Amino acid sequence: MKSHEKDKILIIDEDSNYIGGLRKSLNQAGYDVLSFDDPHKALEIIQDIHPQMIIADVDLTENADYSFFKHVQTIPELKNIPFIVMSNQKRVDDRIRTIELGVDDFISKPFYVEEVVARVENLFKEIEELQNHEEYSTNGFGGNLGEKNVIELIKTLESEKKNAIIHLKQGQFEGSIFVYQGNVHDAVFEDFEADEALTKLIVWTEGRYFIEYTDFNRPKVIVQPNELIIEFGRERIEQWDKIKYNLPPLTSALYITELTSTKNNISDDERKLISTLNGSKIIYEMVVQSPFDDIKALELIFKLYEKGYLKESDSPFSDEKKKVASLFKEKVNTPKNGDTSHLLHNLLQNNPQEPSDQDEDRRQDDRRQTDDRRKMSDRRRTHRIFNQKLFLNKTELMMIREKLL
Amino acid sequence: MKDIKNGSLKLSSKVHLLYHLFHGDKVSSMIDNLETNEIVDVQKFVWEKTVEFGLVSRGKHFDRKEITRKMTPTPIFQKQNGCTQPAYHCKGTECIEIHEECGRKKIKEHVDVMSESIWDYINKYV
Amino acid sequence: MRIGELLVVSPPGKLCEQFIASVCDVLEQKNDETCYGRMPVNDELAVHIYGVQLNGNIDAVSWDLISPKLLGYILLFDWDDADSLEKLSPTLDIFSAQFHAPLMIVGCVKNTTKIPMSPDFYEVAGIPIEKETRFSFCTATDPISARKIVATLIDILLEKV
Repeated sequence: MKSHEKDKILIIDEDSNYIGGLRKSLNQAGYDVLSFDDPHKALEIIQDIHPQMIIADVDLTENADYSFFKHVQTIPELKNIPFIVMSNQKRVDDRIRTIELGVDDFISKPFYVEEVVARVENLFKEIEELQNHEEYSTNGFGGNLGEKNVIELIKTLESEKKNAIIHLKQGQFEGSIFVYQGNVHDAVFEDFEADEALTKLIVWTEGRYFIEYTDFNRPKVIVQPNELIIEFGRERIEQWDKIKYNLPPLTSALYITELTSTKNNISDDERKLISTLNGSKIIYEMVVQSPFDDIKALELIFKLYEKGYLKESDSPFSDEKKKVASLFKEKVNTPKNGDTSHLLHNLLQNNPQEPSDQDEDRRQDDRRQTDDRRKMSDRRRTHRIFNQKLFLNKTELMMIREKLL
Repeated sequence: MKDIKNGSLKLSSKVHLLYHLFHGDKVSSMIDNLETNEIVDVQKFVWEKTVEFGLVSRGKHFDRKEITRKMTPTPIFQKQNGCTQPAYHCKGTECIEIHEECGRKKIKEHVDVMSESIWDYINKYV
Repeated sequence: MRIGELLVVSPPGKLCEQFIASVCDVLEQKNDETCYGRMPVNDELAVHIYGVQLNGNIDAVSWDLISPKLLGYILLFDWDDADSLEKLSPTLDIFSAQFHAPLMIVGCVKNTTKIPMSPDFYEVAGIPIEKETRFSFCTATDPISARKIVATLIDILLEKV
C-alpha cells in the first residue's frame, strides 16, 4: 500500500471556518495541506506546488463558469489529479453538472470533516488501484493465465534468459516457479515442491500470474531442460483439457450423492477419492487434496460425476466456505471492542461472503455514490462506453423467451 | 521483441472471416494485410471455430489430431524454411515475434488447413 | 407495464422492417430510416423493438439516451450481398468497442435453404464471436426464424443474470 504521507492537498475556500477544521483533520491523517482563500492566488503558484489533490469551493449556480476548475484542466501536469468540489448548493442538477464536467467528487456543505477525510482517502486508494490495473511495473508484469499460460510464461523467460519468479494464483491456491537465466530452477505449490509442484502448476490455464524479475537464492532442484518441461507440460494440458471439458468449471463445487452408499460400480480408487471428501468441495480443491496425480484425480472425479455420484452444488460455496461466511456474519453483527478491521480484511481477502438481503439493502443505499465515482473513473478513459443496465429480471426474460418460442 | 496483444482483432474482421469460411474460401489471403498481432488472433479465432464445428459435427469422436495431422510437421516445415531453431520454438504464434515472415507463413498454412476442415464439417454434416 | 427494448440495426433496405414485422406480428410505425414494433408478452410485460437503418452514419443516433435501457442489439446484413456486410462493418466495430450489451450479428437469407449449414451449428446458441456477441442466420420474413434470433439474445442475457 502506497504511503500517502507526502501527498499534498490544496484547499481553496473563501470561508476560513471550513478551511481551518479541514486542514487540521487532513494534517492529522498524514497529508500535507496548503490552503488559499483566493483562487487567483492559488492559480499563480499551483504549478510550483504541484498538489496531488485539489479541494475547492465552487459556485454551482446557473451562471457559474467553473473557471478555476477549467483552468486547472488546461495544465497538463494537473489535468488528471483528483478534484473535489465543495458547495452549499444542494440541488441534484448542480451535482450532476459537476460530475458531467469531470470533477471527481462532490461534498455538500456543511460537512463532517471525518467524512471528507474518508472521501479523500478513498479517492487516493481508487486512483492507486486504477494505476495498479496496468499491472506493469519496473520489476515485472502480470496478467491473466487465460491469455498466457504457464508454458508460455516459461518460454518468454527462456528467450529473455532472465532470473525471475513466476507467481501464480488461482482462487485460494498460490504457487511459484523459479527461473534462473531462463531455465526452470525450482517450484513450490501448497505442500509440494520441485517436480511435484511444477507438475501441478504447469496445467494452469485459469487464474492470474505475476512475473517478478529478481534474483533468488535457491539450489537447482529441477534438472530437466525447459524443452522437456514444455513438452511434458503440453501433453499434460492436453490430457487435462480433455477431461476438464466434460466437467463443470473447476471452481464449481460438487457434493457426494446418497448413491455412493450403495457402493455399486465404484472402483477402489474412486472410493479412495470419495473418502477424502467431506460434504461439498470445489473441483480443483478435490484434485489438489486427493492422494492421486492431478490427471488421475480429475479422471476419477469425471467418472464419479458421469455416474451421478458427484453432483453440482447449488451454492458456489463449498461447506467450508459457507461456515467461514457465517462466521464472518457473526463477527460483523457482534459489537466490537477495539479495531478488528484487519481481521475482517483478512477474512474477506481469502473467503467470499454470501450476500444477504440486509447487505443488499445497505448496498443499494451506497450505490448512487459508488456509481458516480465509478462514472468519474471511467471518464479517464479515452472514449465513451455505453454500459447496459438490465431492467428486466430473470423471470421476465424467461417469459419473453417462452413467448418467442 | 514486439509485444503481441491478445484480442486485437476487430469484430468486423471476425465477421468477415466467418463470411469467407462459410463460403468455403481460403482465408489466408485475407490476412495478408493484417498486423502481426492481428494474424495471431486470426489463428486463435479460426482454431476455436474449427474445434466448435468439429465437436458439433463429430461429437465424442472429434479429435484435434484429425486437423493437426493435415498441417506440415514441424521438422519438415523448419527444414523447408531453413530454420535452425529448436523444434519447440516452431509455433507460429510464438516464433512470429522473432521471425515474422516465417511465422506468418506457418500461421497462413494452419489457417488454410482449418478453413478446409470447417468447410468439410459444414458440408458433410446434414 | 414492464417493457424490454431491443434495437435492430441494418444497412439501408427492407431487412429491418421485415425482421421487426416478423417478430412483432405488427409493425406499429415506420419511416425512411426507423421503424418500431411491439410484442406483448402478457398483461404486464411487453417487448418494444426499434429499427434503425445506418449507412455508416452512426452518430445520427443519440446512443447515450437509448442505450442504457436496451436489452441488446441485433445487427442484420444480407448474406448474399458482400456489399451489405461491408456497409455494416464500421458499425460492427463501434458497437464492439462502445456497447457492452448482448449483440447478435445475423446473416439474412431469402429462405432457410440458402443457409450454408445445418441448424445444429448455429441455432442452439448462435456461433460465439466475442464475449456477448454471437453470429447466426435467419430469414427476416419468417417469424419463426426471426424470433429464434431474439430468443438467442435473451439466452445471452439469461447467462448474465
